[in-house]
Amino acid sequence: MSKKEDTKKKPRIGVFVCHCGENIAAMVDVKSVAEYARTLPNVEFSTDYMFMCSKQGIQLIQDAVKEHNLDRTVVASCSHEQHWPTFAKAISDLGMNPHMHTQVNIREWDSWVTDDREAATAKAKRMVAAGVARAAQKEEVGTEKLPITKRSMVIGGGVAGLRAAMDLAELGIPVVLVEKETSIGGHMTMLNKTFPTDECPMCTLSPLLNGVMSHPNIEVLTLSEVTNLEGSMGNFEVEVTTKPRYVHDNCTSCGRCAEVCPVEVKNEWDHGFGMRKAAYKPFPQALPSVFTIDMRHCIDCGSCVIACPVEAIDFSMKKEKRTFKVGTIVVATGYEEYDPTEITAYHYEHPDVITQMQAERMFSPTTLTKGKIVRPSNGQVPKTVVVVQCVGSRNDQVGNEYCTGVCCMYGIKNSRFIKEHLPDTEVFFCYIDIRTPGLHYEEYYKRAQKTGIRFIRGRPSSIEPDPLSDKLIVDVEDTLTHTPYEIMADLVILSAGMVPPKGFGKLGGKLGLLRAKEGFAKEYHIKMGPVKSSRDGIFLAGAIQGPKDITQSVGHAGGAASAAAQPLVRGYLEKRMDTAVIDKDLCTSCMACIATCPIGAIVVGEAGQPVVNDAACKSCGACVPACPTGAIQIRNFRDRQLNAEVSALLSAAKAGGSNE
Amino acid sequence: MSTEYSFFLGCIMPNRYPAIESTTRFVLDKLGIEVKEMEKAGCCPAPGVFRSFNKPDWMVAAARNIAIAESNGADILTVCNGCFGTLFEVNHALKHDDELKKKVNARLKDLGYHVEASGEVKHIAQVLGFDIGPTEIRDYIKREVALTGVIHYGCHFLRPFTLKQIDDPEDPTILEDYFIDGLGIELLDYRRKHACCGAGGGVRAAHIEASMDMLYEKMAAVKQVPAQALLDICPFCHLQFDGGQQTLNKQRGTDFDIPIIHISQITAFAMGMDDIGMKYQATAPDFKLEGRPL
Ligand code: SF4
Ligand code: SF4
Repeated sequence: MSKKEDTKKKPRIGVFVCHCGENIAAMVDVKSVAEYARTLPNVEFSTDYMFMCSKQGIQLIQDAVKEHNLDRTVVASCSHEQHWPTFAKAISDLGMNPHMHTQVNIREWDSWVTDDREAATAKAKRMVAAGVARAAQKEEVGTEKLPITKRSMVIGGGVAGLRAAMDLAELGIPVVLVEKETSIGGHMTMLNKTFPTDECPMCTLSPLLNGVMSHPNIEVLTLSEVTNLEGSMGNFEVEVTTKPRYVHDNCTSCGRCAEVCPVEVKNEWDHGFGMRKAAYKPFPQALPSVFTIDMRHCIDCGSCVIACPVEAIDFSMKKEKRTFKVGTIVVATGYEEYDPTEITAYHYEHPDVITQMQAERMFSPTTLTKGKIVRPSNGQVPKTVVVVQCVGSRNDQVGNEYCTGVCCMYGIKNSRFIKEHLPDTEVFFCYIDIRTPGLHYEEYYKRAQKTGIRFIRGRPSSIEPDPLSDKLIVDVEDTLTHTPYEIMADLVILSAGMVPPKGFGKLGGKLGLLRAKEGFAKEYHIKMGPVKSSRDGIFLAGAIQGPKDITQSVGHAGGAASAAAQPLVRGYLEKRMDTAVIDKDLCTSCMACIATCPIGAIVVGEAGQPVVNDAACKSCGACVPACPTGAIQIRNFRDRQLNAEVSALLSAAKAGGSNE
Repeated sequence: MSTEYSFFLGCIMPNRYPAIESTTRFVLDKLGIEVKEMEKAGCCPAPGVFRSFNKPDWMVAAARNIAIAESNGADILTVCNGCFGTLFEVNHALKHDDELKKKVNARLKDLGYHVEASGEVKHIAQVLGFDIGPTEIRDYIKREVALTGVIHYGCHFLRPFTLKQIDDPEDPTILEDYFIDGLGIELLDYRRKHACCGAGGGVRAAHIEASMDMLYEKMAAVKQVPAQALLDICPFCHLQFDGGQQTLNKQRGTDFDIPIIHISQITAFAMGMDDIGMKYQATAPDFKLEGRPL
């Protein structure tokens, strides 16, 4: 709309004040706000209604627009984020430009944050006055269809990443799966059993693992990490760095290299309960089924090169960088088990104090103990085992207030496993609360109670090596009976919580994701957007968004895949153009805006002037104050529009719309 | 390390164990540390009971003591975990909360005091074990102590760790290093080493039975190892161990007879003082420490 038209045509504004049930009406005199609105310049109509967002409310707005020939609407209700789209659609259904709707938030910014009805009403009036002034200045802004790259990337090859990759691939979308370890499968492949069915995790996971490996739409990159990201939703450019494996894909997995390799080190995958060679595969079923040479430990003896019957080993392999164009990204980097070292009272350095993940490895048949339950210090069968819950969870001393939610179930599972295999062994289960919500979980706990596990409601205050024997002294009070116990334990298993993986800060920074204070990736909305990240086009799957068990991770990952597929299946992006625009006459090409834009949405154009990438611009406005000449402005957030709003707010305050 | 301290006596030491006071003064003198008396100092007041009932008054009373030390121009030195707990924490709170300081000063004004919380509050175990340390203390001692002992840290010396930051309360070594490397004592580990003696938090005053249960468990654990003495750093723990053993023997027919020695007493002995007041104690009054030439 040109400035001339602007001045010629007098705006006709309708104001609609919402009660939001009692949410607003209890604190704001909505009737008097609506009456006041009628006195404001350019307002042709005003009213109040119980629920503006209801079908009837929307009808009311549309009827008023038609009847009073309105060309702009102002709804005083909830946040722009929540219902601007609702009302913008209501008027655009009538053929108007959706940007002619203005949202005034008298709920979060007013009624919800005070208990002073008079002040709240006065503030609502001032806010409506400001909104009306802004509405009068608004311009029509278009929506554009932008082309999109039909390919997705999944970062992380644990169960969530695998599920997301598979679901995307099945929709016909090409997928790049990036895994930083030598093989895919993640934590699930390390588990001995899964609750609540006590199934073998590898058996459950194998079809998905094999399916992903052989899917024509999925390219699996192991030993790989995302090292850079450019572009925006629909058209990302992701740089992936792949570390050399030193073994080519023609490896037949015969294992000769490992047989001859003289270097033996701890197998990380076994958490201290297994060894591997420098030429290794972390576990028998690992996929891709290719050995790896671990150069940190290799002594360069060359035995493996000679032993390999297919000449697969190649020490000249180099680190590789590749750039992929993708439309959307799913982040599924999972979790890490909390390291209990910092809780010094628990003496995790003692060999007979282990975590649940270590217990899972000890219990599984492929490790050093061959699945036997033993005391790591001396290999003997433990007569007394203490399982300690909430280690690093629900503990504000270590900064983790949250409940991991999974540990009760796996703690019970492993306690049962011990009881089943060693019926004469006493198992004490120390907990704060048992949290087994949902179908089949409480039942699982009930069954465990019958096995003779001794459940003690209390968090041990200390786990100390006994100076007089080889036992561990666990001090705990049963808070149900107020009985202090001093348990002489042979083995202590700590149910350590789930924490965000180390290094996620770096990756999160590269991807431009907001993180929650606990370090997990922050979802867009805890209820309505749990698989969306803070950045358009990037989605979250599984435990990276917060602790989850396998069932929840798989469900969450399915949601993420579906959300990541939507724009790719549709084939284009719809972008509202209330983005930054540069007035060429004012711009001096100082490039201050380029330096300021947090997401790199402004680039240097062919003529050497800055150019805004509309697809990327988030309308955050950071560039505006950076510009020394005022050349860069956001459509519908231009200086003159904001001035109008602020002046109206101030004069409403002066005119008595205030009690301050 | 400071060369002068305002010496906060507290209640138990001057009333029950004056030998801890005299040995402390002896040690400070040998170290060349000047002692400034705290005129009209009151009760610390105790960190458990008093604070639980009335935190504001607890703070004001403690702040008054801190103000007295400040008028001396010297940091506070205590020989007691309880006094240390209170004075350290109130000093810390005042240092980091100007609003609180204003409120406290408004009340101190009526009493004619003003607190700034500009100084430090130190425990003798920290001064000996860390500021001077096990190596340097050897310049001051005349003999090693020929003793096989056990240590009791007590509760308030190292906790809360986030404020005190002296040593890991779960696995401290500050006293072990001082006694073993500094004074030549042999130390034994025992069960319940880091358990409470049972005195603090009003337990001894209000629930003597429970208090004695706790002491019994502690002493029974000490008896399991061949220790000649128990070393502590707090007059209140001292009272509990020393008097409490006799109470247990009388009421429960036990035969506990472990001499209790405060860090000031044993250091004074190593520095050449022969009579460290063991004869005034309830348990093992005949106990004689043996020296070993350096
Ligand atoms: S070259 Fe390295 S990996 Fe190969 S056998 Fe020797 S040590 Fe093992
Ligand atoms: S409004 Fe924000 S996102 Fe858009 S160009 Fe300016 S700084 Fe970048």
